[in-house]
Amino acid sequence: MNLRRIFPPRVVAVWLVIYVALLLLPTVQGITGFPLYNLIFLYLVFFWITQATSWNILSGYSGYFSFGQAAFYGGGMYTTTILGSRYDWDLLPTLPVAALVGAGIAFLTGLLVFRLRKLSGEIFALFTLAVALGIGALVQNWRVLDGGRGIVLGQLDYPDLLGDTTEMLYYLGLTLAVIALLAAYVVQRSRFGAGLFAIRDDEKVAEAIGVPTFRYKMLIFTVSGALAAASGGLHAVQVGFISTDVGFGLRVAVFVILMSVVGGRRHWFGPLLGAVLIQTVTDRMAGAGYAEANQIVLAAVLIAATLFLRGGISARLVERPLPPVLGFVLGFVGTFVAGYPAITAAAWGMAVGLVVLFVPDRFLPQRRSWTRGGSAPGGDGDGSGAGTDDGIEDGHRIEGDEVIEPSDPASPTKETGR
Amino acid sequence: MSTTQTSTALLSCHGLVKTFGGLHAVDGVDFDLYEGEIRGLVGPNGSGKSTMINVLSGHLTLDDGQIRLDGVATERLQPHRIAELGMARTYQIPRPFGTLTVRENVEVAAHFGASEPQPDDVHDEAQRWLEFVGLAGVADELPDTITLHQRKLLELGRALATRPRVLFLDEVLAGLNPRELAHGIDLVRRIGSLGVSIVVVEHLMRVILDLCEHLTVLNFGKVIAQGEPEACLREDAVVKAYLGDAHA
Repeated sequence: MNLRRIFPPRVVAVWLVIYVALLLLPTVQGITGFPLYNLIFLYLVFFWITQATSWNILSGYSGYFSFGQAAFYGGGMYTTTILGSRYDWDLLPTLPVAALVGAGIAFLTGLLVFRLRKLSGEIFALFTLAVALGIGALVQNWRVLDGGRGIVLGQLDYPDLLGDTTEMLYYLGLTLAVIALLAAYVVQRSRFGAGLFAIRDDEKVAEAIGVPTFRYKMLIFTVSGALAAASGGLHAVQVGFISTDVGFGLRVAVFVILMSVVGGRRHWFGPLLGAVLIQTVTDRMAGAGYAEANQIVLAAVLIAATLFLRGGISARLVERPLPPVLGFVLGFVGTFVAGYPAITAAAWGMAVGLVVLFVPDRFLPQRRSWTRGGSAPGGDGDGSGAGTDDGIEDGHRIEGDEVIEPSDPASPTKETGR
Repeated sequence: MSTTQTSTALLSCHGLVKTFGGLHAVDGVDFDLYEGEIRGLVGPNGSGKSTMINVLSGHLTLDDGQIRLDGVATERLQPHRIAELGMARTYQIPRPFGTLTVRENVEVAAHFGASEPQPDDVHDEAQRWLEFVGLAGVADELPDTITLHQRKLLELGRALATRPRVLFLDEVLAGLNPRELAHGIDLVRRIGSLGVSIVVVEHLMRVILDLCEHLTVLNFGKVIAQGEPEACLREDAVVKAYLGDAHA
């Protein structure tokens, strides 16, 4: 496997810069004293990125829509809580154990649904939900685990290097998010990912061309479970008081689905975008005292995304990255300079970016690659491979063929730089 | 009912039985396919042709009988293991991976397919087959934006990218206009000249007579004739099966 093809140097460089900047942030915070709250906020963003990405590499990539995220998340949460509070483990060693527990739950669930009964579609979704609720009920009623009273998790030991609790959560949360994103990225660009996408589109045909579908489904389910559980284990520290409502409630499952659908399930960074956006909106709404209205806003975002952005934000962003990114930067800088806090400024930036994202192409300056494929037989395809087939697209394609094509000398040359 | 070849068959089937409830869809079929051969598999609707393909590719499990692909027993293997051994198929109604581009459809097949030979570079391998079937010009389109003819070619390209030794074509040429048909027949011939052994399931007799050196005729799950195409089609049992008793 060609490493340069999987990791193009320029892409790696950009993400390394972002990663290093995020690593330095707590130190910068210590020096400049910008609000500590920002670190807590960013930890939550990392947490949701990890959870949503964990969900997406299973459900987005392979098409097996899971409602059972809580089974892994809660399993990891209780693993760390029990090991830490009853057996006085340090925090760090509980995380791999939590990952193992999550992997184990996923593996056993996978054996049941993929081997014993070949479940798919809505039955698969229901079964995963039942597993999560079932494990929750077991934990709630079995005294060895919880027994229904909940568990208070005291301070756990961890290496001093990681700073105070907020910084420690920040660093570990960032690490887990990076691991999850790296996994999602590598899978998407590998043979494994190609096989999963084939399973998503037509499992029988995938099997017929040689994809070992059972093995692949088991593997991605297990990895997904391990990531979710490790992240859940760390989150136990942030939550502090662990109950089955927190661990096995529906909230996590609903949010990871929401984030992935809004962000886009076809790209490794779709859940990242969704997590950043939705956590920011949720945080600002709560901060402004409109926590109740938050759900209305989230519902509106979801409706807009499903109606107008079938591939999620990421699909549209890949096609046309510059205008929305510029919109975000302008919105952010503008509000930040005007004296608003960083997170509020980011929320405004996202709002502007989103509006630009939804603007139909015909209102924006034209560019060659938007009309790509116009000269090919069959006419109008836009071969982004992103799975976008939304109404906006169709509208602009027609316009594109009529208006832009003649005036654009470069359009007959096919672009293949994918 | 005998073939002239004496070498051992690449694909050898003996006593294949597949029943659905009380219906014997495939009922004791013996079938041999030789290296480099293009074999026609014909018969009226419901004679068991598609069931044969589904059984041989592992989609359906066999009730009885043996299948040997180059000496390896495949009747209990999962479909992806059979694909690894070098068996590929197309679907009567094209089944492209809908969210992948034409190129990605072929690439994923190149990623998997036969365990050997492994392609040096999946991208190049896919490009090669896209050009071979004539889809390089629409490689970056999504399957639902190309024509039916192109989707059928995509079925071929994807199957070829799995580097098969045995290829089953399930009515890949049905529903095409005369020009497309001529192109398709030429394409199948070129695939044959690559050394791939091909089983052509087809209703169009013109295609069968053009392409195949040998025919196997099925009716009600049984082989009723086997051999030279012209001779086969003259046999009483075949005429009866197609046209009814009055014409025999």
